Order: sequence, then C-alpha cells, then structure tokens
Amino acid sequence: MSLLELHSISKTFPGQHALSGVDLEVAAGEIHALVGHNGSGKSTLIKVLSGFHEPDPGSGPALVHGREIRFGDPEGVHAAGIRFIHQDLGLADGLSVLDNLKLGSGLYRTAPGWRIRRRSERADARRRLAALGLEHLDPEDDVGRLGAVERTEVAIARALQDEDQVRVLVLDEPTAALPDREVGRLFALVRRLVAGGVGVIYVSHRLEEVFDLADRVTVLREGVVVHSSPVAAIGRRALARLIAGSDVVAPVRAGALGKDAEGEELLRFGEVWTDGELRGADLAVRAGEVVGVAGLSGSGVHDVPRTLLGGSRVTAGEITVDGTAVGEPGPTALARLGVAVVPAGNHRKRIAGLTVRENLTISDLGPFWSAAHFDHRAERAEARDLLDRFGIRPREPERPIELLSGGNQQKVYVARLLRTRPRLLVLEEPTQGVDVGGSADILRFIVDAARKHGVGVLLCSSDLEDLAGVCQRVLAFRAGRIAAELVGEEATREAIVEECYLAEEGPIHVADR
Amino acid sequence: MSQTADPGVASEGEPKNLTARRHRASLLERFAGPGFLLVMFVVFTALLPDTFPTYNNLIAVVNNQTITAMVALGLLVPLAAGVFDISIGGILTLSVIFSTLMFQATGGDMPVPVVILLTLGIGILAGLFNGLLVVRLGIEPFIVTLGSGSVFIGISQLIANGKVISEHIPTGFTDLGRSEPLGIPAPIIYVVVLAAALGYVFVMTPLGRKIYATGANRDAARLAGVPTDRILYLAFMTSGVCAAAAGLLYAMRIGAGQPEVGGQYLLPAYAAAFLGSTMIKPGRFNVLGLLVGLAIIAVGINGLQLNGIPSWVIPTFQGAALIIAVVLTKVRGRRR
Repeated sequence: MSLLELHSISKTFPGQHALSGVDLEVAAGEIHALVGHNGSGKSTLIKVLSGFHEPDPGSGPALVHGREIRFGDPEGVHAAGIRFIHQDLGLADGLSVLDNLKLGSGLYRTAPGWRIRRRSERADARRRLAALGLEHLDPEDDVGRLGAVERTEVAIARALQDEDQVRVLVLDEPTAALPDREVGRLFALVRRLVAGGVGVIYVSHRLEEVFDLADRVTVLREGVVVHSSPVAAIGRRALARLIAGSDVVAPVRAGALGKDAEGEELLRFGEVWTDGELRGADLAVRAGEVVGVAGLSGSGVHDVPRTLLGGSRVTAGEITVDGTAVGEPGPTALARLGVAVVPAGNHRKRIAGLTVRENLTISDLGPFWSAAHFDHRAERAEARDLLDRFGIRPREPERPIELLSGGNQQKVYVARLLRTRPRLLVLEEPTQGVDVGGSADILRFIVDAARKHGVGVLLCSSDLEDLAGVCQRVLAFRAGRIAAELVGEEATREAIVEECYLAEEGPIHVADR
Repeated sequence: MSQTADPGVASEGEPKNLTARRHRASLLERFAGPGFLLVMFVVFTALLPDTFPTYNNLIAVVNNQTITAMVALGLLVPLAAGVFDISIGGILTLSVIFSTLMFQATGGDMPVPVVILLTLGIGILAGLFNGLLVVRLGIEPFIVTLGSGSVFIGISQLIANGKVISEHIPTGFTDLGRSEPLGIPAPIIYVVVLAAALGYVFVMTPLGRKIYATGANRDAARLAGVPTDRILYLAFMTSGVCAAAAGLLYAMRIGAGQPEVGGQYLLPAYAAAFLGSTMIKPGRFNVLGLLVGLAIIAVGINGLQLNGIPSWVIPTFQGAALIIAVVLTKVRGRRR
C-alpha cells in the first residue's frame, strides 16, 4: 500500500484549468520527483496537498496510510504527518537556529514566569540536530548569517523535529538557491530520511537531480500527468521532451530578417561577469531581430535585465551599446542610449496611486510640455490612443492603475516604454501571469516593434511558448553563460528545454570569481 | 476589499457605465473638507456674531497661519515624493537665529537682502544634507530628519548662546513682515505667491508628475526613467528653503529670535498636509487641500478660543485633525 495517495485532483482558477484529474502516489522510503515547466501545475498540486488551495469539488480522495485527509485543512495535513519545505524556506533571519526550530511549533518548555529554559532547550536542539547528522549546526548561530545549504538544513530540521510523526516530506525546489557543490550534502540528508521510511516528494527543475536522487518521476504538463514511471525506465532526452510538449502554436517569427539579420549591432555583452549570476556571458542583439534568452532560475537568464538595470554589478567584461561601453548601467543611463528595459513583476512597474494615463506617459512627458505650459489635452488624447493601439481594457485612462488586471497592466508597462521609441527593448518575463489572449497581444507588439520599426528585442523568458513563438535566435543559459544558440527553426520548445535542463556531463560546477 | 462592497472593482461582465464613475473621487469626497469649513464658519458666526465674522478677526486668523502655511507648503513636496521631513522645525529655528544674529553681530549694518539670501541658502544646504543621507546612504528619511532636525536646533542654541537675539534688527527687515499693502498683511501675500507657484509645479509641469510618481512607487518610477534621486534632493531642498523662509517671516514679525521656536509648527504643518490630502484631489498631497486643511484647523481653534475654551484644546485639535486625516485616507483606500 502506498504511503500517500492523491486521486483525481482538479483545480480551476478563473479562466484556467491548473490541474485536471491528477493522480500521485508515494511509497514509504521512496523519493518521488515531480517535474514540469513553469505553469505546469506543480506548485498548485503542492498547495492543494498542503491545504492552501481547496481543489474543485469531486476531487480526491487524498489518503495517508489509507486514511482520508480533508482538503483545505493545513492542520489536518500536519497531523497526518506531511511536512513541507517551501522554496523560500520561511526562516526568520536575525533569530538563532534554536529560535527558528521552535518558531511556530509552540514547543518551548517554560519555567515559572514563562522563562525559557535556554540551556536545556539548547542541549535538546543539539541532540536533535545530531540525530539528523547536522551536528555542524550551532543552535546559537544567527540563521541570517548561515550559508544557503545550512539554511536549507535548518528548514528541514524544523520540519522534522517531531520526526517520529513525519511520514511524507515535500521539498519544493530545495536546490534552486544552492551552488552545485553543496547539493551533494543535501542529497545525503534526504537519502538518510528515506532510509528511515519517510516518503519524499521532490519538486525540481534540474533533471540531473532527478536521475541522481529519485526513484520515481511524474511529469506534469498543463495540469495533466503526462508521464509517471520509475526513473530507471526513462532517459534524459525523453524526459525533456515530455516536459516541453510540442509546439502547438505556429511560430510568428519576427520578419524576414531571419538568420542573415544584418541590422546594426545595438547591444553586446562581452564576456560579462557580475556579482549576480553571470559567468562570462556573451551575447549580441541587432536592430530588427528578436533574440530570446532562456534558462532555469539561477542560470543567469534573469541576471541579464538585472545587470542592465544596475541591480547586479559588472565585475569583468563589458556591456556596449552601439559599440560604446556603458560605464554604469541603469534605467536612466540606458534610456538616454535608446534602450528600454521592462523588468518582471508588476509591482516593480506599477506606480500605484497614479492613473492609467499617468502611468502610460511618465517615461516621457516632454512632448506635452512647451513654453511653461503642460498640454493636458494632448496627453489625454495620446493616452486614449495608446489604450486603443495596445488593446488595454477597460478603455478608461483615468482609472487607477491598480484596478487593472495583471495582463492589462503589463500591456501598460510595455506601451509606456515602446512609446519612448527605444531602439532596443529588453523584456523580462513579459507574459508571466498574463492570460492567453493578453500574452498573444504582447508578443504581437514585440514582433511588430521589431518588424515595422526595426527595434532590437531581447526577450528573457522562461515561457517556451514565447521563445519558440517569436524569437529568431534563442540563447540557452546554463551556469551564467550561454551554453547553446538555437537559430530559427532549431528553436523549438523541445530543443530549448533540452539545452536548458540538461547539463552535458553531470552537474555543472560553478566557478567562483 | 470584497467585490460586493464596491462596484468600482467590478468584474468584467458588469456594464461599463457602472464601473466608469466610481474610481474618480466623488464630489462629496472632494468637497467634504471645504463644506465642513463652511459649516464651521456658519456655526461660529451664529454663536459669536460680534467677534468672529469681523474683518479684523478673520484677517488675524489668516495672518497667524502664514508661518505654518509656509512650512506646510514646503513640506508638501517631500510628502508628495513619498518621504518624511521632520527636520523643518529645526531648520526654521536655525533660520530665525541665524538671520537675527547676523544683524545683531554687525550692528544692523548687514544689508537686508544679503541676510535673506544667506538664510535661504542655509535652508537649501540643510535640505541637501538630508538628501545626501537619504539618497547616498539609503537611510530612512524619518530617522535622518529626526536626527538632523535636532542637530539644527542644537546648532541654533549654540550660536544663540542661549539668549534671545533682539538687538539691531533693522526696521527695513521687520517691515517686510509687518507692512500691510492695500490693507492685506504682507505675509499673506507671500503665502499666496508660494502656494500659486507650488500649485503650478504640481499640476502644470512634468516635474510635478515626476514628484508624484516618485512618491507613489520610487523603484517603479526609477525603472520608468524618472530621475528619482534628483527628485528627492529637490524635495528636501524645497522643504528646507521653505522652512528657512518661514523662519525669516517669524523673525520679521517678532523682530527677535528665540532658540526654541520651531517645534510648534511641525504638528500643524503635518496635520494640514494630511488633512489636505483627503480633499480636492483625494489621495494626493495637493496645495488647495492643504490650504483648506489649514483653514479648518485655524478657524476651528479660533472659534473655540473665542468661545472661551482653554488652551489645551489647541494641541488636541491639531493632533485629532492629523489622526482623522489618516483615518479618512485609510477608509478610502479600503473601499477600493
């Protein structure tokens, strides 16, 4: 009998089937890998299991040791012995390891006067850490000063402090923040746990980890289980193909420029190293082409826009615009050079408190200002025109920006910068959290800008649809540098996933600089 | 929050014209403040027909608020840019002491325009100092200006040597604060000019828009190309120079400088600014709203005093106005 059984779990969000009839079984002593691309439903499944989301009616049952657990009941889930380690770990920096272990557990025993029995608690924590093979953790250390792997260990130790009751441990991308050389230590800990009969659900993006660690693997795609088998029964390429799916939408690549794009070179990263994730990244974007940048989180894909916005510091190599080195990149410096960067995350772009009109025009108010007079009428006319051209709904320029849907907000932010007529547009995850129709619109604006106005576009995205759909070239990042360049027809979803997920030979060892 | 409570956040299926109206502030919301002022006016007129609605009383009420108004108008810029400046009381004190001391030290020989320009320069420098700490070192503006304001008061006490400075203040200087061209006290004219200038900047220039954008979301504004660092420097320098101007006005009117003058203007300035942000253009710090807010506080206190209500009412009234303003903002935000 399986330790944990989930039967036909469905979850519908407005306008989206996040999960459709998903089954999952985990046996005692088994490490079960759950893989899938962004938006495949992994997180939703974990959140249903943890009680955060309630599944659609008709889902279930969910059984632990054959006993049914209720949905939407985090305490019941805890009582059934299921523990979660989320990606952000949920630790309180500035508090000690001991305090973090006790946080939320209510397990401090107190002396009269509610005084914490510090010494006996400390000794007890040492004993428990040692039992997990974590004797190198000092209960008095400040969690904020620990390394990434120690932090993960603290989170695991906290999840396991009532170890005799723990049946299933769910690890959600525990290695995303870890350097590769540290992963081995974490694996050793996980293996010790399963040897004791615990079942593990291991969510990961890194396929090599699946093959190193897991016994079974289940692949989710668009909310459906497309594959479930012992790891030994499947190869890496086949697994990558299952994650990617096939190209369902015919690509609308930007124009006829294609491979022989001979537009002038606008942006170049020459062997750029940063204090972020880039380790010798080398790329160029020409006028009129759409270049995709793909990669898993931590691979450097998001460090490209971050570096351009001044969030990561260049430590070696140089960034040039029009062949001239950019000393200190940042939004204002780049805007002057005709480069517009749209970062991910609406909260970083939303100027809440201002209206849609004001959000649209803020990047360039010059056209409305002459002879000490601000032409409000011209501004309103242009705002209305932008709402039409970019299909932003509702068509109300005076609406507070925060009342627009995420997709319409994203259109506002793209329109805001395209309006400044940049020669180069850098977009980070432009369709994240945007519905299908909105995504198609945004991609169309991007392609139009490249095709009709000769704008060079750098599209940093983890969305395969975006990349395979509109890019003439896709650069796959691994370990901070470009591992492969896929040109034109080569840039299929499958090829992109293969290049991003697969290390050629074993884990990549990140050099430090 | 819930959709049923407010059709303004309607789902997409709802008819357009229903949703269109709601997110612009209603007339009631915009003009409740001025309406309240009017009601107070009528009530006090009815209660005190002989003393309250006279020209002399009303002009005195307004004139008494000119120093607060100047401080508050300057404060409006950092508030709109999303940062607190509580050093304005300190800058005002420094300005009072510095200007009067320059006359006293030179036996009244220092030309008046020079003193005025130097004093305003001190205000700008003080603002620059705040700006440097906030922008360069990224320290919380609240903490920076709490500390620097106290430092400015300390410096004032040091250079005043603990004494009231009242010698050799030329009448050419004090007249600037005491004359009444066309029967209107000069300070009122200064305030009107300053208010008009600031109102123009806020509503009619790209700079004003950029200040509001910086205050609404500094990071997003920066990413959209707004030079937020420069805006913050400008904001602190504006509040600094306005506080210095208010200090000059004080010195002109009183004709002397005491080293513990500034503190009393801080609270009413904040109360007026926050009260003002709930009216005319609700949700935004705005000049007209500030003036109405200040009038509500001033008329309220004046009317109560004429009715023989003791002096403890003043701080209570000011503090209550500030809290009510913030509560109004909160309630409005929640209904969204």
